[in-house]
Amino acid sequence: MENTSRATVQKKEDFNIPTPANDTVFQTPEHRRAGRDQLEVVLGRLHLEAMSPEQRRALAGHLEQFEKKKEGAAARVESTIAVAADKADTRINDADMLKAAREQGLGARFLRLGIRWNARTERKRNAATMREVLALQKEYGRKIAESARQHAVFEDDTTGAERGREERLTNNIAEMERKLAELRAQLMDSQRERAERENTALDQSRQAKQEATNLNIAARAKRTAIEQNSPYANMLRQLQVAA
Amino acid sequence: MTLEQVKGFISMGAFSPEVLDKMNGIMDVAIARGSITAEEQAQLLELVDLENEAATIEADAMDDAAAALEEFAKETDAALAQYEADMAEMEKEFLAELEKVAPEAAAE
Repeated sequence: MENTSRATVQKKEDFNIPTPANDTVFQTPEHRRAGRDQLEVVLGRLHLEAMSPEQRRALAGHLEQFEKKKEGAAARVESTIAVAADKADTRINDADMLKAAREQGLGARFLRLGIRWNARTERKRNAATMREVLALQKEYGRKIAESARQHAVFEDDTTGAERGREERLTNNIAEMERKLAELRAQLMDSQRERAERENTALDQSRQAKQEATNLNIAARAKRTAIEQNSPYANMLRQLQVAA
Repeated sequence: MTLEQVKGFISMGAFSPEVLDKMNGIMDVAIARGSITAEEQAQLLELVDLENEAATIEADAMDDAAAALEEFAKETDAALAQYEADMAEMEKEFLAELEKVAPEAAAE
């Protein structure tokens, strides 16, 4: 567990992920883990049967708020990733369209010189990988949100009764117990889940960066080739042509 | 510089195989004849020009796509970092509320 956590921290540093600006006790991964451990312990010590209806009502309210906030945060990250992926996809499409427009006529000009020329395919090969990375990351964001929604508090109204919401929250001790146990389990698993989640996300982010690096290298190679060919044009111009 | 030497130099250039084949073909005809015509020279120059134009278009498209991916990675990383920070903050707030609701549980 420790090793996984350290590996995650190292990866974050590698990719210069911004550290939250607010200086909370949860700011570092170690502090966050300590906070989760503390929360898990407190949840384990709650005795619902011994609590007053007011306390239970307050607890249910806080639990519900917590779950709603989690859903909101998950929905935000899902939306941000989806928007970023769509934006990148659009930009890549635009680049393709611009390329196609600029290439119009090249084929005919090559053909006139006796060469059957097709649009270059180097980047087409990369395009599939790029879109795969974008789609994977988008799917990953969707899973975060789906997971948060699945844990929505008291959504499953098993009582079927028409009692008021507050009464239901307060009196349904079994349901609250179940939710609290679920939350504890989530907190216990959170270290592993978060490490996996961060690794998955960073892997995909790294893939996108790697693809970008590959493209930049390929583009540089193309421009270098153009520079290398310029002396040939000068040489050909200086050839003494037959009268 | 002889036509053979020119052909040798061309073969060292960074031309695509199809363009290089065509240039070699033109040079072979010129070498066999012992001279190069203005039309052949113009064809060779146009081939170099077209090759460069195609390579520039390709390079520009690759740079555009690279920029899109870099921005995507940056935005995604920032969103995930924010998500983790939000989660940590929520857990802290929830813990504080629990400690108010059931202080005995927190104090045990």
